[in-house]
Amino acid sequence: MEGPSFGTRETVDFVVVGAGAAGGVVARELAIAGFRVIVLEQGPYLKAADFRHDELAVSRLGALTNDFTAQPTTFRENENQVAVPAQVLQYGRLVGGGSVHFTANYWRFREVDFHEASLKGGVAGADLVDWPISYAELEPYYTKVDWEIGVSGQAGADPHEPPRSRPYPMPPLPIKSTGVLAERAARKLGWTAFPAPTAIASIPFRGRGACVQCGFCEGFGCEVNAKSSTLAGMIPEAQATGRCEIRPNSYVRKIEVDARGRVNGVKYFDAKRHEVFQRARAVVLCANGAETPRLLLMSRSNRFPQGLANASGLVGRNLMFNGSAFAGGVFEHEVNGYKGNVVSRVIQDFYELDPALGIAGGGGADFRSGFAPISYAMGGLGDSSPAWGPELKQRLREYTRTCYVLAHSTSLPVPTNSISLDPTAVDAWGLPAIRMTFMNHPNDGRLSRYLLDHCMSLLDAAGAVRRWAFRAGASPFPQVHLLGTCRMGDDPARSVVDRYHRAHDVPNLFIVDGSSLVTSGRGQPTMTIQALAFRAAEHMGRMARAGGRW
Amino acid sequence: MTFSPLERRQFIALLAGGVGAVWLGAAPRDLSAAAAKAAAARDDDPWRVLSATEAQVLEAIAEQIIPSDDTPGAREARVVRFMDNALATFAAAELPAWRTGFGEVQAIVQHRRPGLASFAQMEKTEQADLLRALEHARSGFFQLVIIATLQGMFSNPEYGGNHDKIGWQLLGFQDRFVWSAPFGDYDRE
Repeated sequence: MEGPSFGTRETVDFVVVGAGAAGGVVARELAIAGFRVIVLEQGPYLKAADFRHDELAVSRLGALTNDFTAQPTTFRENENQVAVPAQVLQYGRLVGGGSVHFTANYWRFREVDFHEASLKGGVAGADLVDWPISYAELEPYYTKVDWEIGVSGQAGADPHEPPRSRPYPMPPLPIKSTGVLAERAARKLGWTAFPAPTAIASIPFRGRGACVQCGFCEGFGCEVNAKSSTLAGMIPEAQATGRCEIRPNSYVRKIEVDARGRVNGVKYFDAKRHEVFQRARAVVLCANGAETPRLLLMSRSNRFPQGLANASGLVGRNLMFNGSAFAGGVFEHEVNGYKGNVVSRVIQDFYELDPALGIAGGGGADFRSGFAPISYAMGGLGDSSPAWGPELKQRLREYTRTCYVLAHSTSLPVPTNSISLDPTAVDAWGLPAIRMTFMNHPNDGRLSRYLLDHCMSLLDAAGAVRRWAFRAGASPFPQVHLLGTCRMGDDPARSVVDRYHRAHDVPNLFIVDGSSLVTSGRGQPTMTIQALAFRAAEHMGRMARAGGRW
Repeated sequence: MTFSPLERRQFIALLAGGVGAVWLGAAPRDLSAAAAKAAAARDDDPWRVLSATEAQVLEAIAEQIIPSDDTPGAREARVVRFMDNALATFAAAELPAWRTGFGEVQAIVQHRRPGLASFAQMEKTEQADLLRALEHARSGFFQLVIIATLQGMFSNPEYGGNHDKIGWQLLGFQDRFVWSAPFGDYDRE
């Protein structure tokens, strides 16, 4: 499983920044294609044996995610405010990135997500534009995600399913009581609850064992490697080629350019905080929708005074998260959502809405109870619950009979919603902190409230004896879907990367992660990020082989 | 619509200039050391950082938060052992804020019941009245104790709380590693 170790004086073909959902795919594809690759990851290289059922360490104290103390972030609602410290975003900070602790919901985007502007019309106050690519163009790569990353599901079960060239490689994970309640509710409302496409192995897959239904998916690393993280699949496969080095505990601070304006390597701090320069013929940024724009902005130089690859001024702009709506209900009998994989059925009949509603976008919903005990006590009871006393104790007793409906939805791109460098706050390495500027587009709040009504109707239809809504409209911090901040497009004045993920301004710099997305989809963006990564790696290889063009 | 960062789930992390952040977001630098110490702790061990009075006050507050009735509550789950352990390790930076909080509570006790030694000596109904006042005043200290109580109640027993898995039994949560269908009562519908 250990890969090669390149010297820092050696010039490798590609340095990939970030070993997450995208970086793991890019590294594996480039290494298989014959290139020498170094992946720099700011976090540690943990293995399945390091993960435990320890909610205090993992969920509440952030063992697998960015460390707010060492890496502060700041927040403001608009550009006229001074940002204040706030824990506004969370990402996986280890080899495998967020794919280690995610819930593994793998929804494909649909054609409407790629061409919403031309199909449905623009929205005032949003820079809603079409992608330069279509669903049909990405479909083969979604299928690669299914078959090479490992997705369980049932083709044809979703009546609105976009065309697919192959069935899923694995059957759906078992249905749970949450899923049965979803089916019951959907039937009553004339909708369809179908088996959730999930990046967890339901049967042995590519040398990994099947899920044992321990239930500790959301927020936790999988202890049996059944979750299809890049840590479990792509990264060991990349190392097995003998051409890919994973270099953990490496915190990149700047991408360097030569006199011709070509990238020639990256500077990073190693585990001892010594600065290292790693030479490379090309660089691929897969650092996520917040750290990627931050790194580009930190890489400003005389030649690129606005930051690298930022002639358009769009680096960091059009930040999107996916909206959400959330409701909980108590049932007569045991639901036991904590046992087994988090989501077993999803409903997407409101992926596109009746134009008469006047609401742009749409969403999808699932029934779940992904709360481990501490999270349930601290966040699962809703605002109407007393914070202490006998009534709190009574509510706590309802844990096994509680089920939630979670809807994810469109977040519109607004240019003033952004990631930028805080002018004063710095991290433990002395680098500028991430500053988030964000205010929901009014449409997104309306959409969340609309979907919240659906969540409540679904709980009623499922037979909840009591139900409650969590506040709609504003998504709670920290945000985890970090999208749109280096958008893809054909026009260099209106996008950061081209349709092949090459930076418009720098021919040997590529960017592929959540930042590439032009629209947010309806939720669950990881599958699309990985499909883009498979496709991007293919084009990077093609361009590198063309030779000398960098 | 404004996008307020002060959602319920985060309210503690943003309180009082970041006090509380260690309970929700800081790195677990010495968490494993904390666990090792706590796992070896016995019920009659001396407190690591709390005074006997502070421990009594916390136990009385925790008992108000999750009372002992027909089933055990926070007291039996030994959440104060968890708090002491946390304040000695990963939450050590917060100890001064807690000490300020003890002082504030004691001042109210002295005002309401002059001469009484501490909150722990008040009648249960008086204690509840005082805590309602703290809640109404959005006391950061009380909110911290609520969070710490919930974490001590429901975290792995190795951290000193959730003694005999009392917290998990309250929820009905069973810590098994492998489950198979049927998971719940509706699976076979």
